[in-house]
Amino acid sequence: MLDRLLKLDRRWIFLCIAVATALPLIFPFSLVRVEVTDPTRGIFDTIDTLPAGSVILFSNDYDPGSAAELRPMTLAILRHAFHRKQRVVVMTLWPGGLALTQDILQQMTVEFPHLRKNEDWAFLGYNAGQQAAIANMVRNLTETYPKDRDGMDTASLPILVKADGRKIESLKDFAYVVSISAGDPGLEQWVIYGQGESGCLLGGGSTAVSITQYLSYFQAKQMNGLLGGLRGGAEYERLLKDKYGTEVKNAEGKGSVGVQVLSVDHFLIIAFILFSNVIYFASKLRTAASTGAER
Amino acid sequence: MLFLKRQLPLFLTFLFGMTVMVCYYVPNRASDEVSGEILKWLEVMLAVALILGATVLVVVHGEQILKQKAGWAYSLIVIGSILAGVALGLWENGKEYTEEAELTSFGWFYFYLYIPLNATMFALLAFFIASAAFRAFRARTLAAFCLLATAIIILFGQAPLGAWLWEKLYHATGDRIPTMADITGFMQQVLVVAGKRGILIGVSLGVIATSLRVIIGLERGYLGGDK
Repeated sequence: MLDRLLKLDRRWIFLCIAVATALPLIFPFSLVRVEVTDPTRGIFDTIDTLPAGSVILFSNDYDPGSAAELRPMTLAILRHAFHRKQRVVVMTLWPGGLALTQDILQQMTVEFPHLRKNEDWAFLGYNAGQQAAIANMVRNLTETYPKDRDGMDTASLPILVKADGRKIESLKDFAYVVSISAGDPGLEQWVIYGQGESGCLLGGGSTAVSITQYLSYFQAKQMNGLLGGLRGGAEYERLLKDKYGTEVKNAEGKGSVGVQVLSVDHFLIIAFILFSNVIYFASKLRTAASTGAER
Repeated sequence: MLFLKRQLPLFLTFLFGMTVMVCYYVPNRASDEVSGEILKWLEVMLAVALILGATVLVVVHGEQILKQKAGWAYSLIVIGSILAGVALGLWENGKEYTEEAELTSFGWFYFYLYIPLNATMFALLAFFIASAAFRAFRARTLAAFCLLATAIIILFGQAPLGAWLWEKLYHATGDRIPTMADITGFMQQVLVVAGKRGILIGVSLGVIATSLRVIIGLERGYLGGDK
């Protein structure tokens, strides 16, 4: 019996995970409020204190594979920035992120119908230069992106003129730089080639599995905020909802729902681990007992 | 041929490696312009590398199909998908949406084929992690026990439900135990970051040493070995 349990058909495990994941998505519930951590508060406070009209550079460096984890935080940050009447220049260093970013911006224009293209937001599109693109942006933005996604001259975009009339020419001219990334090129390259070279204010987000990789940059104050995975998105949504309530449409988004799914799945995996260890040790004890009896 | 295959690449590597390095350590207007120009070249080369990569992919899979090697049908799907993506992209001028915010055929291809397929691949991870946790996470040795205990604490603490349950326990014990945020924070921000920093410093030193060897021509692996 114990041996059979130890060799449990993996399809039972798959079924349990499928049910545990699907049920909270079909019947959303809110068990507990997610606690907000300091790295998340760092980004929220920065965007919350930047004056209206500030220009933020937002690099959406992921593809659909990581969208379930990273899209909630992307939407939450953009909703916050647009609600605070800040202007956002969006770009991506991932080819698979191009249409995804376009879709996110499409959603933003529906949620914030007053937004004017190229004045309140602009999409520079994809750059294949990876870290070289970031290093080039430190020197000259319009040489790195001569045209925006629609083929317009970047230099002529009204969004690249600050409230005081000065032009945004390079990375350091942005009030804040945010990169949401799922790997390379991404947050690490933004720290090394972007923040390290220009001294710009940098925040970002990443998948939960990679977050420890970037914590050292947060501790060294090379980044002033860091969001980790679905939970990071849920934390940001909570801050947004606590401060602005229904003023921000969809403030409580998929991050808050997703993190409840995460809770159930985490507990299920813990149960699997404990269960398999109990069986393992019971099996060992039984083997030891039967060996002793034979002697 | 030896000049093109060996001497010229070695010379170019030395020239550009040294130039960028000197420009970095001697900052002035001229060096800034030179390194800026080299970075622009690099950007162009990285874009060309994408085309090269796609071409190699088509050539390799094309060979699979022509010689009808095992799994050639998958190669057919790969090439078909690439060609369909490129054709639709060119047809729609790379746009996913029309001016009226309607999906183009390229957008349809991306949103209804690429996104579900890509997301499905990653979603499968949850199932494999659960299965691996059941089969492999067993406290066979002390090291395995430590790994297992850490995993359980992080899984418990990262789930809002776990943190909430711990908070109840925390208050029930009269605040005499550390909070879950303290425990997971210590593990992630002290233990893990300490290890990560060590690895990062080691890797960085390795990168510096290897880069110097490449620039001065001692490391020639990138030329295709010693053939």
